[in-house]
Amino acid sequence: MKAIQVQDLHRYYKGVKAVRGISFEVEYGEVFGFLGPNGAGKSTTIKVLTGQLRPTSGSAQVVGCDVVEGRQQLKPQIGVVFEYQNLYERLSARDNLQFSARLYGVPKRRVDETLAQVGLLDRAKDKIKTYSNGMKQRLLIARALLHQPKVLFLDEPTRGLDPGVARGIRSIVEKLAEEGVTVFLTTHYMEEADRLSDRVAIIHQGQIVAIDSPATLKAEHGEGEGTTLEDVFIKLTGNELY
Amino acid sequence: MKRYGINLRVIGTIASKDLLDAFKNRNILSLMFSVFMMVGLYRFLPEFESGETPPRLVVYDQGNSQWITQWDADTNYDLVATASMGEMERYVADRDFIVLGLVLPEDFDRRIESGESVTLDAYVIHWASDEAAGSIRSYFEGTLGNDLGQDVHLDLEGHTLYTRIDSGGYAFLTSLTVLLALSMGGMYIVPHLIFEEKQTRTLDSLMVSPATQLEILIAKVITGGTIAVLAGLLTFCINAALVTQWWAAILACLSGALFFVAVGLLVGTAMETKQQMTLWGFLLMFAMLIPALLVTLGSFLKAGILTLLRLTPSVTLINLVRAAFTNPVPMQPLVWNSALLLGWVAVLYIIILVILRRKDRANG
Repeated sequence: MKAIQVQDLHRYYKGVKAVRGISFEVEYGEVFGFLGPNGAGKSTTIKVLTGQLRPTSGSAQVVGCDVVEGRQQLKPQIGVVFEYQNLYERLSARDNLQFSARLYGVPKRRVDETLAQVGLLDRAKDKIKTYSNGMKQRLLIARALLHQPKVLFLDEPTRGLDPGVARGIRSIVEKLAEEGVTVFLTTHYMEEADRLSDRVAIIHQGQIVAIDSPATLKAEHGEGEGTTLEDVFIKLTGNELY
Repeated sequence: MKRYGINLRVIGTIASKDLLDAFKNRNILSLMFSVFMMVGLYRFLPEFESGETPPRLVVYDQGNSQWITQWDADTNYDLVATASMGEMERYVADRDFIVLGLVLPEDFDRRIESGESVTLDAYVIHWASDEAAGSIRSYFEGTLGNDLGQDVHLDLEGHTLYTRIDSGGYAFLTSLTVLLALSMGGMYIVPHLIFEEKQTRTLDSLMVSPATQLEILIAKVITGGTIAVLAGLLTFCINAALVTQWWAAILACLSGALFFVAVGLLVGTAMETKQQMTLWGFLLMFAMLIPALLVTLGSFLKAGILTLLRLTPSVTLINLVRAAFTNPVPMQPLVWNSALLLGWVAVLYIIILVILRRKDRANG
């Protein structure tokens, strides 16, 4: 069984064909980069895979659960870090995680364990509104990891962060990968995708235009040594990154 | 913890988080503070008034006494003459200040002329304190005694009057403040909580957690309902002198909270912006107050219109609140108004479920 299986997935919304027949598989323990320009269908795909949106047609299974029929069984097995920082700002970091812990039925001790894992234990009592963006992002990752999910969805986890903070986030992802957590990662930073991902898929206008390891993609679509994943991306999508 | 397909732990967790968050939310705290300022101001303002208004005597004269004309001319007090015992009782119950009801027997003039000692039946409203009742009795024993030129005893023993389910005055105004307190929890805090979850997008994290849409909704009902019930009960406590039936007060709070939370959920799920939410909340509150005011004050309205207005949720709720001030409780109106209000609640929850289902389908 695969961690993620997607077959001919379509998702239309208000007349817009956001996702147009994508198919791919992700192995357990794999870090899978899902790349594409703005509006290519990345976030829509994540929303379908995490059960927030129903596919218009096609099917998807995550950890063996159908994303429509088995949505409730799926939820405790996935963790999601959204592209925006959606935390309860008036509550402390510990209160935020304790809330999630109770939702997932996770023992209380996991709260401090997870806070320590992302380096926030010493600021656990502080309200979120006093946190920097980087700290919030680490807390979002802690929240997603609290219940030890089998698959972690990271939607642009380093967007808008200082280079130093982004590096910290990347090292957390690397550590998770070493621990065997399956990671589904979207990012605009090609270097990040290249460094973290075992394989990447490039989505353009709702369709997957390439899928393989970064090295293979660079070899297949590049123009000799020194080709970066960014070059491949621009070549395949015809888009500048920003 | 799973009952009837819903996870009680999840509901309890979201509701307790919402409560904790609500009491840390400045907007909600200032709203609660404003409402209780209004409730408290209304309740305690009369205590600070100058008290220069002359006391009022409401007389039911069974024998067309000649003294009425003389008393009417006395500027030390206001006299109101009523045509029946019922009218006198109604007058006393419909005030928001304490008046003394008095019955003059048929042979009152003869007894005064013969110099017999006179003891008259006097009536006072139930929410008057012993001190206030004693004070107004003493006052009229003195002034009437002066007018009549002989001692008069006013007997209040066993003559306490109770407000009715349709009383105006203090009972009606207090029922409006209870309505206001209940609406704060339901109609303002619930949509505020939902809107904030949407705005900060924490709703998305809830939707990928084990919580279902129904469980999130029930949690909001519990949060808003708890605040509404507490606010309603606190308002009853502030006006405790008026309350004769605490069970009826609790029933009114519970059913009122259910209703206003349903309105709040409707506003919260249907509206997309804070401006829309505030506008609709205000319009709905206004729309609910109008029938209550018209039914209580609008004796000029046609019977058919009044009957229709009595079916509106705010009127049924105000009747339920006023049932807590009656003695004995009129069971038939109580059951009828409870059934009507629960009917409204059921209709609102059905509409909410239809909206949610449509939204869910729109996602699908």
